Amino acid sequence: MSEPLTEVEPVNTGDVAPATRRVWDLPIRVFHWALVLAIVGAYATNRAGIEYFKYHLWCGYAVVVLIGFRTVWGLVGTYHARFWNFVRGPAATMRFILATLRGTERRYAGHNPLGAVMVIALLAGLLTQSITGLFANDEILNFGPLSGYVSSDRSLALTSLHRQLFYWIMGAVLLHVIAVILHRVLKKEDLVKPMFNGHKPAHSVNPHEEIASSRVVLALLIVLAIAGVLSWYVSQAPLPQADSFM
Amino acid sequence: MGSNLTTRVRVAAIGTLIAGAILAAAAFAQSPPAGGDKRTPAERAIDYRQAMFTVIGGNFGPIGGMQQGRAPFNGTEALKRAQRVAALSGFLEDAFPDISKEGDTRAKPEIWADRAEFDKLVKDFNTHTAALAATLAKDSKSEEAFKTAATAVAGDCKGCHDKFRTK
Repeated sequence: MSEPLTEVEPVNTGDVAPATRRVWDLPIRVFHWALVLAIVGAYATNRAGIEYFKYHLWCGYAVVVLIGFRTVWGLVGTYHARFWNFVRGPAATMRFILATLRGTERRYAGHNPLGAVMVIALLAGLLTQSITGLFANDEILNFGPLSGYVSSDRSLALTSLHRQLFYWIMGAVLLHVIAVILHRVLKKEDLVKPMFNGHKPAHSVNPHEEIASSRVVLALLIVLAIAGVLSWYVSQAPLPQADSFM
Repeated sequence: MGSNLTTRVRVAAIGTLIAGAILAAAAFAQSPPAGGDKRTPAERAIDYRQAMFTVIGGNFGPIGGMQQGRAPFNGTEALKRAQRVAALSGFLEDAFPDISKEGDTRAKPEIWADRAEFDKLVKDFNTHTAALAATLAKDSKSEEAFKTAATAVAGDCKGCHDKFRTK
């Protein structure tokens, strides 16, 4: 990974070497922006009024499937998607932070060790948020599809957690956005465009760090499997208890 | 002799009874009756309020179930529930006395800090619960009208909970 960039690009049709190399596979890019939409949608459908709240559940299902997908993709996805290839221990992460403060950190084609911490924090936070939502209820009209599996008290405790965790997730999202802006301003590195087209400038990616395929079929199979399991659980769930306590 | 003893016994007995009664009355005045209410006024006010929301929720629950399609629509049942909720909604305006601000409650202090806004939301709730009952009283067959009116009530619940109840 830290080899110097000495390799000469093979010249194909033109006489220019490729300006960019692919780092993010298509599934991970779709995952990222779909997750943004789902989070914005979940927020908007909660704020818009109770008649829109049923769509909040749709957004929640999307988050469950997306986070489930990303977790599996972290095991079987392309190189930069896999957790083993970018998650580092506390000591290595601390060394990276100190190097960054001194301005001597090395450049990472994928997630750097600090970015890895944010990936894990967001995945864990959103997984908890979406799962607690499935068991929550608003004590008015809406019941999470799996709330019938737990007692009314447990459901309310999970609802409370769901409401409070929102602020923590917003804090993490804010930090994430600030980090992207700092990369842009301080390091002159655009992280947004690669998240759309998958490519980073060739000078920041070693040739062997480029990914060859997006493994789109595998990604689709994972998404279908997770969505299938979720809809099976939802369809089998007993009715919520609170309507029938009289 | 015999009658003298009887008189003395009688006087002693009556005296004991009177003394006992006075002691008992004094004791009664000082401590609450056995098994009595040991709650503070604030705790009683909060319990009263929570009991009321329990009954409101208990009667809105079946309405919510019908509104969301978890239970089949039954206009007669909905009307009965709606009338109860409408009647109970009138109790809310004085269910938040100042003494009930602090204690084991999810009511936020903002209720008392922003009383005008809170009272307005309670008023909306009164209006919409009355409208729901009136809608069903006029036509208990129209599921569509019921759903619209029930959504307005539920919106009031959520609006106030989001603003004035701890998460």
